[in-house]
Amino acid sequence: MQRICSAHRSGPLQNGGLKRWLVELLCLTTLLSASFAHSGSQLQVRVLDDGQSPLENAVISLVPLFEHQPASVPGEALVKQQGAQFRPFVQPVQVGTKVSFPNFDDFRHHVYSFSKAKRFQLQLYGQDESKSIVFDKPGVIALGCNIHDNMLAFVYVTDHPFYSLSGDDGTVSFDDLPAGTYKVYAWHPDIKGRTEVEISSIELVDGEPQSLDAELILKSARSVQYPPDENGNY
Amino acid sequence: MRRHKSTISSHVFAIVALLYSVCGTAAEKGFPELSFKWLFDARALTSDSQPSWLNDGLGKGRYDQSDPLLELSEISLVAEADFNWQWQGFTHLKYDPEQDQAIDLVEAYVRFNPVPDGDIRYRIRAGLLFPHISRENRGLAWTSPFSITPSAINSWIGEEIRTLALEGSATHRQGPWKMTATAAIFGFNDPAGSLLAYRGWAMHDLKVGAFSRVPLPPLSSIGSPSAFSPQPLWVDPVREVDNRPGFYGALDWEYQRKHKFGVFFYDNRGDPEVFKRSQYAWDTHFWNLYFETKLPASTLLIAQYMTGRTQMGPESGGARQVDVDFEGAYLLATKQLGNNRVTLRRDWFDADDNSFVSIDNNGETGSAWTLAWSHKLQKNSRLIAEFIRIDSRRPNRADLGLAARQTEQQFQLSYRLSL
Repeated sequence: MQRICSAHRSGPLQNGGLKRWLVELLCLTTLLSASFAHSGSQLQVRVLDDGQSPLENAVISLVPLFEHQPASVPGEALVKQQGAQFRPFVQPVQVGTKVSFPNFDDFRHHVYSFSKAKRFQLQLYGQDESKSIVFDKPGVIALGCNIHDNMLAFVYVTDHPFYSLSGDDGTVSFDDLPAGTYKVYAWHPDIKGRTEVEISSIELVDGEPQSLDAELILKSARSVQYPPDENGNY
Repeated sequence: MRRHKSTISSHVFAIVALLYSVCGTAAEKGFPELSFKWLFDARALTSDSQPSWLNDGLGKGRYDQSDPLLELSEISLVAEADFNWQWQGFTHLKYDPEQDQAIDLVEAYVRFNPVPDGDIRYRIRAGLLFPHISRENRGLAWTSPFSITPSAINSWIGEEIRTLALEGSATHRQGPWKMTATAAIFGFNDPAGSLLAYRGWAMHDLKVGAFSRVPLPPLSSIGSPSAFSPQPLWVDPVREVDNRPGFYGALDWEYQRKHKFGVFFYDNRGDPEVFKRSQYAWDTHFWNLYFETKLPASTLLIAQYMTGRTQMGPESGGARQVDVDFEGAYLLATKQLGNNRVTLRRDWFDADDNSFVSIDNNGETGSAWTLAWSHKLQKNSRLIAEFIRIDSRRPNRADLGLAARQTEQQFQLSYRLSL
């Protein structure tokens, strides 16, 4: 695309307003159509709880049922500690991802997990100190702080190549997916049975955005990360 | 108040320093880390009460009409030490010019917080500590953020209940629920119950230091020549008398941090016939129940109920020398309004004497209203105004030439500064 535009630019543009305008329009439409042609498929998933309310902090992941070239090496992710709170509450990552735990507070945190998928503890002395963990097995890792009992968060480690977290409106959007058939999975910290569930299979076609609803059955007890109370107790 | 000879205060410092140095020896990077907090509390007050129990009377407050307008009620030092990632130390020292030992130890314990390896979290505390009974004294240096004077129940905890304990707790969280089970064995709390029996309930913010002696009212029944060893006119609440350990246990529930309730049982397993160093081992046990709920509009409701029994002395004619059932309750509503907090509390208390009532009636009934207004001046300073009215009927007052029924009113203005 860049090549097409620069070819036009290097042409005789000094011949007057209309011609120049037409050339620019041509450049723009070429650019737009080109980007459409390469954008792949779009999928929007609306995650709902069993009371049909939008559900935040759910992870939707997709497994292609066709030959798929795996994406680049797993990246890096963050779980911050700030104001005696973990941020974000749910951090989805791919297997092999290195997750950093930077301390934004000027006091200590003692981050730990006793989850099967990864047992660890990190001692963070003070502000701006950061330590990291590589999550090498899929599963759910519940995080706690041994000093601040109120702190709670989850790292969701998946080996599915596409995944995303629902926002407060309960929606998850995927752009740029290769066309083909996928299995759609969902997980939430309070999902019944604790493990991810298969929602459906869906066939995606280039240029035809699709949407679907995922209804999750949750445990009656919801996981909450409370802020410190008014007396500073955790 | 009378002071008893000794250089206990200097021993206090030695013990605390030793504790900290022992635990601090295996230093890791960044440890040990010490933090100090000071609490300074000065009062202006007026009271119409008959002589207070601290002034050889049976008045229920800390102060009475003979006290001056201005008082320094306490200077507390709370020292916390992180020895490493899992061991901490906590020490509370208090200076109170009117206390038997002007500088005394309120609490000193170590805490072990191992990193959980399952979904139950274990905690251990060992040392001199308040068992978690009071729902009011949750502020710095065992103060109440709601009022100057705690309820009758927690006033008693502050004066007579202190344990040298080994306490373990296990907490399990499930969604919005948090459940904790606590169990402890303890010693050094055998005389607990003496004040409650001979003086009855009281309402004050005095937390008695571990080495301090507190007075009993000069009743003719105390220390009178009799078949058993005479009880002097004072109590050392934190003493081991019978070498028999006591225990306490508790279950606490919390739902979404909004609703809390729990049950607590204490038994010092005192042998009521053992008398050593002028003190009896009182056989004291009690239940404490509480409920706490957050209501809309920054309002908090707290209720606590206590019932128990204390016995002392040899048995004669099928009854112990002193045998008193006691019961107390309060309901407290408090509301935060920006920098202000308004608290209203209703207290009820009573005691039933089960033995020798005709010659020494330690029974009592009473109730109180407390209205407090707390205003945050700056981040670390606060002004609290409190009016308290206590109505009580105690037949034993006749022994001091007083009417059994008394109404006491007291107004206090407290300036609390924490540094």
